[in-house]
Amino acid sequence: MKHSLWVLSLAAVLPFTASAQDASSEAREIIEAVNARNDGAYVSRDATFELTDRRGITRVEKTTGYRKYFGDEKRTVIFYTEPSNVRGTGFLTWDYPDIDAEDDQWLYLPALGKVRRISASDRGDYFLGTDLTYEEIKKENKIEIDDYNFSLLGESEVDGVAVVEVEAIPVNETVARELGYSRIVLSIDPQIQMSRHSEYWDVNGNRLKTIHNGNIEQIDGIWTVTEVNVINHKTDHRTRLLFENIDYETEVPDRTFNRQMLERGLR
Amino acid sequence: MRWMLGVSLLWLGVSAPGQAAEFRGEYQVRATQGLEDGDFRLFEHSLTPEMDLALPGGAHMHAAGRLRYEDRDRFEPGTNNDGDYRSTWSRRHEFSDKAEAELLEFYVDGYLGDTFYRVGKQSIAWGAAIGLEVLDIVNPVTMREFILPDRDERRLALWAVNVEQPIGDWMASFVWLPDTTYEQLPKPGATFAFQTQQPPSGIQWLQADKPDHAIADADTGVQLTTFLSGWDVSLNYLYHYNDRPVIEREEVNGSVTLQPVYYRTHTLGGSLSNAFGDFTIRAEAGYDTQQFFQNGSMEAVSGWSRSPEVSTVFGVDYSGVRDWLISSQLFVSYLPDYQQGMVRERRQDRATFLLRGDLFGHTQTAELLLIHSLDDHDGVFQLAWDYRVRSLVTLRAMLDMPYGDGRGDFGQFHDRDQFSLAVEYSF
Repeated sequence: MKHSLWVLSLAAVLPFTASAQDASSEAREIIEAVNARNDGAYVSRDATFELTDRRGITRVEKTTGYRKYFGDEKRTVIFYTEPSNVRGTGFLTWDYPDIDAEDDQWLYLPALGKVRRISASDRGDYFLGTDLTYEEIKKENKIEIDDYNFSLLGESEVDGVAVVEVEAIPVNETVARELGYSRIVLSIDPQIQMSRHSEYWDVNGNRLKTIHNGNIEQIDGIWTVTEVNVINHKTDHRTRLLFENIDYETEVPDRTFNRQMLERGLR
Repeated sequence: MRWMLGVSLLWLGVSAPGQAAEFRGEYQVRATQGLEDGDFRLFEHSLTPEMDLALPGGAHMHAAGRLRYEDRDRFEPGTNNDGDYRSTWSRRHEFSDKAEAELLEFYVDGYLGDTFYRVGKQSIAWGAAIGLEVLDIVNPVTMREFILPDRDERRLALWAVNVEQPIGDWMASFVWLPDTTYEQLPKPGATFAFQTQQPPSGIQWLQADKPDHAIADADTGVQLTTFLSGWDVSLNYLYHYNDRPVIEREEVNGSVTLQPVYYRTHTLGGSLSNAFGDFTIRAEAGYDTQQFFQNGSMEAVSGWSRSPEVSTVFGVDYSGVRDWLISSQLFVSYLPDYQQGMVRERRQDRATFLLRGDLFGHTQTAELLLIHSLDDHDGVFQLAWDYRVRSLVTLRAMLDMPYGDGRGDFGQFHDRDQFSLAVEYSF
């Protein structure tokens, strides 16, 4: 009798487990497709950061940035162009494909007049006063797949476009603390393999922030986010990020990603 | 006259047909109050316009200037002493004792194939130390306000040629500096005048024997840099005049004269830096083939002695606390051929401690910097606070407190504590 009950229980659970595994596998495939999305071998672009605090005071900062793949290694450099008192500040990152290999990073501060080697920031630190983390800036609408377990929540709509909702839960508490999240829900447009909207919860389970990709367009044949809106629900701080002059076709010279260029700035 | 020529060249550049110029700049007003002597020692307006211009062939021209009006006239009382320290081409134009114009940078740069060139008035910074220098010796500095302002504010740009050429995995940077400008000390009587500048009574102080031939007296050097197994590596060499002169004493018929004289040296050095988790380590070392050190105090100066000098710095930065940087450095200077009677010790140790926080979503920056001599137990304690009130407006407060024995390099200014407030507008 006991044995029969066990068999019956197993029979009831198996289809559900199989279904859950299918959903998880399907969710992971969606994320893999997102990560496989073509984002160009190189790109140059200007970015405007509009940072608004809870009092409604907005600061505007402008940057020019370049990114290039060297094999699987990704190199990114960002130069501040406005306002004048931060102009010339530069930030260079060499991002290695091995998740265990630390990025190499350099910072140029005009007040010091020298390039300084800096430690790779914690992935969950906020990038220079914005509501985006270093990890989000670095990944550019992609996701480190080994950081999360994924599951499919269903279908929905964002800005009139059909999306698939994928839940991402950090694989363990250490990763959750590194990233600063306990849960993310990504609304992914399967037609372009890109998240249009995402919701984040902090490590204590409280709603943390919302990232909304307000405008996505095809530039040089590559789907590109040109407007990002972020609201931090805990601080009521907002970041609006606008990209312009995006160019995937003009090759960026290798020398753009070295220390000398960082020191020279945009010249 | 040369200042007017510079402006004319700028105007010609801007007027070049089809070339779009980009203008920007900053206006700053700053007030500084002495805390011990109660002296309201500085009330300064400064306007620093900059211009960038794209030239044909991918070249680029950059110009930056400064118009300054300083009402109190304490840091450089009367007319400036540029003639004693700067080459003719690097001097400021004085409208009056209180108003001046200066060309801060003016150069053309670009690429010829893989070779980068920059020709004109420019700053060249070597090394990565903060507060004190080992390899950052290419450009001289002004001591108008001692070492209290940022290094970048104190650095005097020089007319120079800088050529960078990749060689395998290395980058070679060749510099040639025909500009015979050297470290500029304030005049006697200035707020931050050095004790060594006070002429002893009964002794005649002669005009400095300063190099002034652009070709024969030019400095030259090379820096090699690479990225090796995660380490940033540089090797440096500079053949140059020491930025500080030797005070030579002469006695003829009972009359004593002192004269500053500049001598050349070879500096060889290198630097390393790498990051390990939340820590970054930095190291620099330099070897000067000859440095000159005064024998005895200024009152009893009896000449000078010569020795090579080995200088090193080792620094550790920690950024494990979100939005904070904690940095510490140890500088060691050692004279292998130390002579009894030299005014300094064979070995000098100095340490720095820096704590900097980016606060309130990077709208405010707080900084504490301590530079301390482990031998003389004097130093400088600085607090600074920046508040970016709006995108273009920054409010700044600074507290500078030199301390220690009055005979020390830092302690000589122990009674010059000051508090400054500044507002900066960018456009």
